[in-house]
Amino acid sequence: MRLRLALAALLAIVCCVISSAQTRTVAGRVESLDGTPLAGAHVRPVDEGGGAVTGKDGTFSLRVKTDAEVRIAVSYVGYETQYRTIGASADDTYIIIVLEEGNRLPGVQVYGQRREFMNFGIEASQMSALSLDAERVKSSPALFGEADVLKTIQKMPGVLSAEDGNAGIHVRGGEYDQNLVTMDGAPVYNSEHLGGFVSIMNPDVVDNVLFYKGAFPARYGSHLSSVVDVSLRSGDMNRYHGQISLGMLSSKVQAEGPLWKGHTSFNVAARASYFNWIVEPMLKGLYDDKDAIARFAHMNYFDLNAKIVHLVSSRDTVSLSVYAGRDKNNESPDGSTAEMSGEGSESQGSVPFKNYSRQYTTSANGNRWSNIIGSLQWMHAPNERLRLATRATMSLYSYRTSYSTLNDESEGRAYTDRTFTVINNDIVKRQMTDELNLFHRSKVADYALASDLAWSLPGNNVGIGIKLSYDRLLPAVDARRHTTTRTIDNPNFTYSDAAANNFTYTVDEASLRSRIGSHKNLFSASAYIEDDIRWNKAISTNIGIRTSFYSVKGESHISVEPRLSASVLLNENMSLKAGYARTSQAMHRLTSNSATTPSYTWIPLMKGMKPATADQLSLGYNLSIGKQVEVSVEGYYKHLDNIVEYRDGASFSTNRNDWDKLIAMGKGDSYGVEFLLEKGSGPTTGWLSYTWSRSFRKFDRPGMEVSGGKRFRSGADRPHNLNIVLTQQLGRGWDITASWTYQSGFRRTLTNMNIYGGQLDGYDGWSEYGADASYAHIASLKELSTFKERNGYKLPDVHHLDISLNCRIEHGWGESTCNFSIYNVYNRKNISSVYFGYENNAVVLKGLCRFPFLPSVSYTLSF
Amino acid sequence: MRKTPIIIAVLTAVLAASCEKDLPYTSEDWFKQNVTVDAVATCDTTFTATIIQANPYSRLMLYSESTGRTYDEKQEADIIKTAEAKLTVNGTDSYPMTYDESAQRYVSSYVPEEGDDIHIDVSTSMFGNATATATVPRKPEIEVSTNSISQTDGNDSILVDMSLTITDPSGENYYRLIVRAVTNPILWSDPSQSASSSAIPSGPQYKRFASDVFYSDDDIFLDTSLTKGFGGWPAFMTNVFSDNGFDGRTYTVSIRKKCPNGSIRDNEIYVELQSLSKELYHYLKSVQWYRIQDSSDFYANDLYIYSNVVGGWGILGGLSASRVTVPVR
Repeated sequence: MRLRLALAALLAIVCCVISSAQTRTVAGRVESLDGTPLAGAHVRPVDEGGGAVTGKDGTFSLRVKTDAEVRIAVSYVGYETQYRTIGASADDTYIIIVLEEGNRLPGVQVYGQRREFMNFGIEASQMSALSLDAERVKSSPALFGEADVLKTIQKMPGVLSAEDGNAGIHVRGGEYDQNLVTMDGAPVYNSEHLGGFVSIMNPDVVDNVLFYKGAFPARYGSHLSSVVDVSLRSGDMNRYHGQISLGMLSSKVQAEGPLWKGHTSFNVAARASYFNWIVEPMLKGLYDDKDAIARFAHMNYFDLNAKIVHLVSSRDTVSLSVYAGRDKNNESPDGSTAEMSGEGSESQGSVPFKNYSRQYTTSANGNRWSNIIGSLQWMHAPNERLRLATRATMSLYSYRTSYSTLNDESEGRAYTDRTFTVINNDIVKRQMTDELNLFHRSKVADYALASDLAWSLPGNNVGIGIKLSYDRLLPAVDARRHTTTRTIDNPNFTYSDAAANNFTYTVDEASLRSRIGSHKNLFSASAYIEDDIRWNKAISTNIGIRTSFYSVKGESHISVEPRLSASVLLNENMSLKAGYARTSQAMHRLTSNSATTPSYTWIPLMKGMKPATADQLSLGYNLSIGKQVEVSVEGYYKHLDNIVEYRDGASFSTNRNDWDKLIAMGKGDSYGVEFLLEKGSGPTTGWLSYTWSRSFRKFDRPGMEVSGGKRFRSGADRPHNLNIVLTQQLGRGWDITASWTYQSGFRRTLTNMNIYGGQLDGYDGWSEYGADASYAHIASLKELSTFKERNGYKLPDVHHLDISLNCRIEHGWGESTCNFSIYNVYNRKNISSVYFGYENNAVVLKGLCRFPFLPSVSYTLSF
Repeated sequence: MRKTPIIIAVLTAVLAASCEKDLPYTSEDWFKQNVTVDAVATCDTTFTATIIQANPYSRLMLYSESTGRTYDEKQEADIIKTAEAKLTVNGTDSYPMTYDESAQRYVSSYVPEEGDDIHIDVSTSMFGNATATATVPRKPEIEVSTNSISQTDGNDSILVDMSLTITDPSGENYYRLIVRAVTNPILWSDPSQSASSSAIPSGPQYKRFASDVFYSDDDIFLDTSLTKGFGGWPAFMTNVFSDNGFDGRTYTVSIRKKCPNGSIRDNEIYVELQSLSKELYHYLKSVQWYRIQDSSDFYANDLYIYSNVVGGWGILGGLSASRVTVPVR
């Protein structure tokens, strides 16, 4: 059946290719001087409405009038706008447009130049997608002045932040791990630095970001909810440039230039943070509970980006991108001592004694993670219409947490001074030491080989591709426990026994070593075909199909994923769009629902599991108001199946099974409406986005029920999300950006009630028999701690106003850029985590606001 | 000129603001005290219900400065004795419930029958209304045959191997199996009543002991969430299970029971299969998982105690049992 469907879809695509070639189309490709395709460039007829945005391979397709000469403008931020004139008599035309860098230094922030829209345009078949350039990212107000790709995406409709100030994203009710984040095609398995303060994408080397949240083209797969496709910028082939940035959180250096003039270029950037120097003391000063910052007490990162591009010939380009980054996030060790002096104090001469019991506990948490990512790509263009990109990628991710605790309890007798302060231990009657070390590791080694062929025809852009990947994962927990009990043999010893050293101990020792999890392998293969077709001036579609094959030990699965998006131009200024996409995913990141100690573990498909799937239907309306403003409204419904969560009460620290015994599989639903109003040009630019959305989960499969199979809200069920971003050019190199964000509060699972309940009347072991049981009631009532609903506790709503002021000073040989930012101008206490605290011997629920009013400055020198 | 100090004062005030805040904890509905209703409508047995106060953490946990630990203020349940409880059966028959001081439960004159739909309304002046609904399931069909009886532990114990045949009707069904052995009276001295204790020693006396524990390798008793043994049950074994895997079929399962040799009351044990309502099944499962939870395990996911009580906590379940007596002579 599936084969027939695939053949039918293929046939439809071929028919479309043939039939649509009867109208006049201008198609082509936009690339830079070194042949790098420019994704997200805007192509538009100068005297008409509409236009197109180039895809990842730089290709576009545009319908133009058949009976008149048409002038086309091609623009891309940071490059000179080019104009081409297409004659009135020309039939279908294919053009290659090479853009030259504009009159600015590469990498220098450009504020005040004309901005293009983030949407793909009203004519494009693509919906639910945005194109962001690095300049837009850099101009957004940012926490500690750290411009960030993912935090800019968070201001878009349909996207929620994982926590306040955190770079993680939830897209259209999806989970964190359902986002495919790639750097030059290589997947990223943890895109966070500093526990989410910033993402690993250094905006100094980012060229363009394509963000899809629905209607996914067939070339994308392997994740359910979104694609964040980051292209890194190639270095200048002819001149050397660089920049140095100093900020409160980190400092950066970037350099680029030719290795072989006109043939080979490099672009290198590095960042290192010094969280402990400025930000941590600053936050510590703001917290009531100084220990609240302990979670971030020893947190820092560094990363390095490098890209080398070599023009082999006019038709061949080879590029190598490398990223390496490492984080550590160790909590401050925590220790406490409790001592109680018991009855029966005595004395020997003038030296008093006392009996005591003492407990000493200490614990420490450590957390490190790293990414090493590489992408080697060969671009081959045998002719003007064909382009073959072959790419080998590698992504090595390592995450490690350690938890160690020592509990030392002792009872004995001690010499004390007159105030009964212990000055020397005399006899320890009994001592018990319990030492636990827990090491949790999550490693992913991802190797992939992919080839994508782009074939540009008049009215059609056909894409065909194949990808093979091999993933080796290590989700493992090693536990080591050592207990020692030392007991005095004669508990009725006397002082003279002690003085004569006349006592002995019995020592019992026990050690336990255990490990759960082992290396797991996942082999994936996928193939796709898609065609972006302009049927006529009004209608365009993108039809595709993707087939994914997943194989794990002893099992394999196939997922057939149809993709469709269509646009109907109602008039020159408005269009209706619709899209459907099925996606699948074979790897999951397990996240514990514990509010205090979250943990993250990547697991692949395992025996008995099926690939997770998502079916998403989107409907949209786009309106162009003049040439400066665009409005879009989109609705979506997404159904998730075979998604994974931890079971109720599951813990990898006590489990002795493999991971598949800790998880449950279920389904989910998300739906919502998104609104985006964008002003793309003029002295005042910006956008307003609003989303209303809901997201639910249900895990009711027999034996895998979560919350007894009841439907519950997902962590991303935060109905309202409003963002307003405005940038105003002030002249003379000054500009100011203000951003206001309002989001419904975060959702957490919070065990907060004590109830009474228990098992039915019965006898577990050999216990005293009362009478024959009636089973009519719950017997042996015990106190049980529970909660009303998973993710049922809603924290207060989040909102903050952020302002960023930029000043550029030209030096002739370079440029200085100063940035002054204020995060959370009116000091809203946005709560992103809670914990139970104690005040006046009573429990209080404390909310921790990680980021209050926080001013920051940064300075960038470009040359 | 005077603007500067004002600006500085405002900025200082803003900056000095604390970064933590006490959330409205006890005032929100989510955290309010409420009632817990615990009741199981058991076929052929007079219906009773326990109504207890449910407390948010703040009412129960106290912090000890001297030990640095938290502890429960209350060790005993706050049983509510003044609630108005009413039972409605099959939408028509109404049964008031009254509090029985000796049993510490609310009792009614209603005796559940198979297939009854039960609705309970509980009203308290302090906590408002709570309601729950359940259906009494049909009695299950079970046959038991003894395969062998052998001696072990130096003849101190006997092992009884049995085959149970469960006839499962189509549709979702949930069960609990107990295999109960009761001993003859044994002369017993309570070890907790030591000579040094201030309590009056109870002295040796004759007592009976009982156990429902059995063993089986069959997957229907496998629960991978039960990572530790409890109360004589081995790890990963549960006696609360669903018909997942044998829905609508006749299923035979082998079990083993270990008993003390020669001291079983009447030389017989009984095997009882209980049909559970779906809600009761989920409740009992969650309680079984709860009792092996380690409160000091920071990595454990929070555990939900299943409840079908609207406006409160707890469970209203339905249960019907079929019992077979097995001689072990």
